[in-house]
Amino acid sequence: MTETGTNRHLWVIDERGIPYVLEERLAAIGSNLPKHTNLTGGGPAYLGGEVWFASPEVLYVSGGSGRYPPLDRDQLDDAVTVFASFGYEVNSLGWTPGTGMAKRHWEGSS
Amino acid sequence: MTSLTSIFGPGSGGSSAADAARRSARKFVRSEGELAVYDASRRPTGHVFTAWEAFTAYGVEILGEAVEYGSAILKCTRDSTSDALTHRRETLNLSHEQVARAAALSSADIVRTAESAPSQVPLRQIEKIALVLGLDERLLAFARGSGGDDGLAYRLRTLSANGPRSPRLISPRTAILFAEAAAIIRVQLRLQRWLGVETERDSLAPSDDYGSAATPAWKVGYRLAEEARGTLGLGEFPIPSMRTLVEDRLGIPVVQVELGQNIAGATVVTKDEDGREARGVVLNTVGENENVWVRRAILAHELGHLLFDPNAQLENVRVDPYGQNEADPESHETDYVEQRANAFAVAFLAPLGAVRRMVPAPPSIESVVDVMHTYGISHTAARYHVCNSHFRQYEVPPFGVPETPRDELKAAENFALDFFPLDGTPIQRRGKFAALVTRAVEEGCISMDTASLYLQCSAPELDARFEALRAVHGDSRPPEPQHTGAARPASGRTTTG
Repeated sequence: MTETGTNRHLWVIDERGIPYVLEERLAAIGSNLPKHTNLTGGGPAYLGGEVWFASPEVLYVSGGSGRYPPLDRDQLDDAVTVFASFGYEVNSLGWTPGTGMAKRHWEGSS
Repeated sequence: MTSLTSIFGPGSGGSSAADAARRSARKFVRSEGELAVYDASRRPTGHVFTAWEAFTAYGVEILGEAVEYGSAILKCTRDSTSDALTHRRETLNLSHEQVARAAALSSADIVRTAESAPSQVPLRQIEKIALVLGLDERLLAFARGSGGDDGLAYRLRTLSANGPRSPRLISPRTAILFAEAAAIIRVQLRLQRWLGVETERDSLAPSDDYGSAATPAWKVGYRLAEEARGTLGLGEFPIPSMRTLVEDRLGIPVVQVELGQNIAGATVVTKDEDGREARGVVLNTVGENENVWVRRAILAHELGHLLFDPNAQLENVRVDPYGQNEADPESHETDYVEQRANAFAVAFLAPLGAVRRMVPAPPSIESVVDVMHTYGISHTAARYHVCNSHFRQYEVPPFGVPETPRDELKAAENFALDFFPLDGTPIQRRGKFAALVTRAVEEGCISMDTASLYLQCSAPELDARFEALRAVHGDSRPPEPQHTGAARPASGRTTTG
C-alpha cells in the first residue's frame, strides 16, 4: 500500500461494539493532529485505531491509539472482525511484540 | 503539539523538552520499526530506552506521536534497516561469516536474515551487527545509512583490499575491529557529553604546518610538543601516566584491541550524529605494546596524529606499524606526517631541553638509562633522543639493556582490562568505555538494555554484576538499596524488570 497521507482516519469501537470513524482525513504521521478523544469526547471506548481506505471495499486497520490501544493481538483481531462484518475486505497491520503494541506500518500480510 | 507533560510524564517539568527528557522517569521501547511508551504489563521484547535516550535519538515529535497513537513509526523507508546493514557490510567488503564472528553471533544466517528480513531477527542481534559495522544502532531504520560514516568505510575497504598494485595493509578482521572502534569512540564521546565530563581536548587545535625546506617536519613536531606541554601545564616534568592524560584529562577514547603482531596503533576519525568529527585512538594490546615504554610512545605518537593532523592527512584512519615509532625522529626516511608525529611523541614524553640539561656531553650509557626511567621511554627512543638533544654531535651506540620499566609505571599505565566482572565483554569495550557506560546507567542517562548492548552481555547479567562493575571503576557513591524492580527514580539505574 502506498500511503499518500490523505486517506487515514481514526476509529473507535465503543463499549457496545459500535464503530465510529472520524470523517476528517489525516496525514500519515505527526502529533499535531486530531486524536481519538475527538471521537469520544474523552469518554470511554473499547478500542481505537487507524483505518486507511485503499478502495471502497478494502480497508487497512491498525490499533494505533494512545488512549484506547488494543491490549493484545486478540483485541486487535476483534476490531478486524467488526469492520469485516460491514462487508469490507480488512487487512490488519498486525502486532509488534517488540513494543507490545499494535503495528502502525504495513509490512505485508503475515 | 502534545504537551511535554503528556510525553515525559508528570513531574518531569523543565522549561524545555531537553530538560523534561532528562528529568523524566518514563521509558520508551523500540522494535525494529516503531517506538512506544514502555509498559511492562505488555511484556515488550524490544530495546528499552530512557526518555533521554529516546528524545536525543528521535526528537520530541516522534515521542509525541508515540504517546498519541500508541507507537510512532521510526522507519524512514520500508527497507532502511536492510539497506543500511547490507550497504555497510558490502562497503567494508566483509562476508556474512566475518560479521557474525565479530558480533559474537552463532550463525552467519542471522546476518543474512537481518539484511533480508530484519523484522524476523531479534532487535538485539541487529543492534549487535550494527555496532560492529560502525553504525549508530539507535538510528537503525530511522536514518538513511543508520549513522554510518561512508568515508571511514571506504577507507577501511581500501586498506583491507588485496590487489596486484595495492597490497593489503590490514586484514578484514582488523577492518571490522576499526569499524567497531569507530562506534565505540562515538558512543564514548556522546556519554562524556551527556555526563558533563569536562576535558581539555579543545585547548589544543589542529595544525596543517608540516614545515618547509628550511624547517623539517620533525622540528614542527618538537615545537608542537613544547606548546602542548605548555598548554597542559606539564612544564618539563615527566608524565606519570599517558593513559590518565589521554583518557581523563583530554577525554580521548582509547580503544584497546588485539590486532596481531604488526600494528601498533591507529588514529580513527569518524563523525557523530550531528556531523561533528569524533576522533579516538586504537591501541594494540599484543606485541611490543605489552612493554609499557613502547605503549607510552605509541599513545604519544597517536596523540600527535589525533590532536594536530587535519583529516586530509589522516584520511579517516592512520595505521601505525610497530617499529615506526622507534625510528630516529629526525630521520627523513618517514613521510612528513609520521615524522612530525614521531618527533612530537618523544619530545612530549621527554622534553628536549630537559634531556639536554640532564645528560652531560658526551652522553654516557648511565645517563641514557636515567632518561629512560625518568621519562618512561624505551632504550631506542632514549638513545636517539639523547643524540638529537645534543644536536647529533655525539653518537650513542646501541647497548644491551637489562632495564625494564618500573612497577609504578606499569601500574600507572594499566588500563585495568584484565579483571572485568563480565566475562563476555570484549576487551575493546572494557576500561574507560565501560566506566562511562556504568556511570551513565547510574545517572539515568541510559537504560540497562543499552548498557548491556554496549557491554555485550544480557541485562540480567549486567544487573547481577553491576556492583562489581562499580567497584572496578572506583565509584565512591553509596549503593542503591535494591537493584531490580520497576519503580526507580529518574536519576537512578533502571531495569526492564
